[in-house]
Amino acid sequence: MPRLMNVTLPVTLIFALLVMVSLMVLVFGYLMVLNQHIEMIYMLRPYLYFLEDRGDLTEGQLLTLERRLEDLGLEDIEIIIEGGGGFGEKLGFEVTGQGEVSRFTGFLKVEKTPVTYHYRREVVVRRIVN
Amino acid sequence: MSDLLIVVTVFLLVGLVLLPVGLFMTQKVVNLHALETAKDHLDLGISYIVVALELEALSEGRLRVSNHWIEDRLEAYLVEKAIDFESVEVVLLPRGGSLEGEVRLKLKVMDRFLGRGSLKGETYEIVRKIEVPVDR
Repeated sequence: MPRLMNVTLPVTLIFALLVMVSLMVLVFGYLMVLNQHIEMIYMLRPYLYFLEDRGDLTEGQLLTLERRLEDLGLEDIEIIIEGGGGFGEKLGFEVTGQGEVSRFTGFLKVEKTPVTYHYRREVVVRRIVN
Repeated sequence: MSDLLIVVTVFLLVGLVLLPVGLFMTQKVVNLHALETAKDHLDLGISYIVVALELEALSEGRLRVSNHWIEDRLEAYLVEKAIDFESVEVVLLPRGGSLEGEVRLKLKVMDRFLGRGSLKGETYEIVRKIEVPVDR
């Protein structure tokens, strides 16, 4: 009778590996969400400066912003600028969009789940615009 | 025995490399996110204070506030925006018809997210040059 190999250690190691890979996939999903949010911050930062300078965004700037957010993979984009006025006035700048992220929903089952991206900043108009 | 060796090698190569790499990436991305959020709020906070200073300067004809007063207001603004920071330092000096200087914000990220010791926190310093026109 041939001598059989003890499989306890390899099986344990393979299970440990599966747990690690599953954890990493979860972490990867979280990283993707954070990465998308960082890209949003980079993209929206110049518009904060435009708002500081003029107190409002032009139609062209809003259209460009919406198109660039769509390029990032966001849908149902909503851009809200609350308040307005001249020097010293406070504006609320809010951007909301829907994205997707892959998540494990069971053993080797991956599903895309919707994620809402939200960005809100308060801007003070610091230039006097005639 | 060679099968066992292969399994152990794969485990060591994939598992023990994947985990630290994943944790390292998580640390970097979370740090970057916290840093960029802090930069946004610092810039907006500076604008908020510069505007307040300009209004004061315009109404009174001269500036009567100290750097500590500016630091306190900036600290209050950042706390309100939930930014975790170590210190804010403002150095503004009169130069001609304006006040010129810089703002240094020191912040340590990560501690708030995953607890002390689990992943290494990093300290960043954000420096912004500012100029406040006093005489318009």
